[in-house]
Amino acid sequence: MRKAGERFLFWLVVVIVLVGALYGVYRAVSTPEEIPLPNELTGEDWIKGNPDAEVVLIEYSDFQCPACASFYVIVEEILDEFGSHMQFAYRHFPLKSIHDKASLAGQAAEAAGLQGKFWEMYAEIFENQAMWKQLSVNDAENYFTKYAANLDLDQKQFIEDLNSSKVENLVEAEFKSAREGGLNSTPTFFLNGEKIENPKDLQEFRTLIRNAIEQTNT
Amino acid sequence: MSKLIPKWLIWAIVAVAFLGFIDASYLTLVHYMGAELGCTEWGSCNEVTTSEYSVIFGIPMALMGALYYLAVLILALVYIDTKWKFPLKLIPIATTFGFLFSLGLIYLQLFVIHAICLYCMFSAGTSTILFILSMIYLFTRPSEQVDKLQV
Repeated sequence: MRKAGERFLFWLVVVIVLVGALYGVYRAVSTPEEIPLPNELTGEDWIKGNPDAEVVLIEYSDFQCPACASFYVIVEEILDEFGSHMQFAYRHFPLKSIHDKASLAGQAAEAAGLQGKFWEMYAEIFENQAMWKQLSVNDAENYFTKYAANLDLDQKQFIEDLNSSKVENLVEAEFKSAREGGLNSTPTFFLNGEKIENPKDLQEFRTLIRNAIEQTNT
Repeated sequence: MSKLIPKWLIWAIVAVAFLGFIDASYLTLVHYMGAELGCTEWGSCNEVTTSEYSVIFGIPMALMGALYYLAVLILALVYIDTKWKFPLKLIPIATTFGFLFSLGLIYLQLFVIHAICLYCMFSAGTSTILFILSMIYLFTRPSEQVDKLQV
């Protein structure tokens, strides 16, 4: 049997390590991030709503993220209601480590965008997320091509663009900028350049937007 | 009469239980501090950790996991400190339950919730390793002579 002093030291070290580790975890969960991101619109953003409006909502989103699909519905409602007083931009932040088809979906939207139908493809992809997210990457690409056909896009051109390095780089560049800006979750919204906590429901989102519009009017 | 355990094995159990404890503590804190609504790159979507399966009898699964790892950790440390054999009997029982529980949780993620939470999968990994380590202890019979020299 070891001496009492040694045993005391042993358990003291155990307690210190455990408490230290828990404190580290607590810090990791509670530290708010600083985000120096391009939080203003650029010429490359896809914009919906009134391009002259002062109120700007930017979303960093992932087409394969279920929460983003829920917010898609909410954002559509918001745009129906306030679209003439605000503009909305969508930016890609595909969480590649957990969503194998997120980048591909982003590329599909961009490829449709090259034929002038970014927002139409954006809607198709979100509305059918439950369907294609179960598929393999190849099958999902076929699905996106089907959506392209539904939208009367040139299918051959669509497939070519979807797999082009230009479109791949575009989605990748937005992903990188989001990562470098410290974002780690989707969706993340910026309202007039300020990162906001995700509203819990449509009502809360509505209030936020309404307040922002009222502020610009005063 | 319980067998002795090689030194590397008991310390491996300590190390893996410690990792599992950190992981499950993280999930527990995220649960109670209500981290953001959405998908996180490393934590995966909250759809797993906020699903109806994330709480049993009002206790978050993550907290149960943290307590489980802490219990295995303390049992192993008590053995290291006192050389009392009783904890060595409890560890294989605990890790078997932990392993079966993890299998259930993986099933829920893959076939019921249809979403994967990376931290939960990491925990499934640590509980599997703990199970394997304790089975190595149960099914190998190191000579006492060697063990006495090692421990």
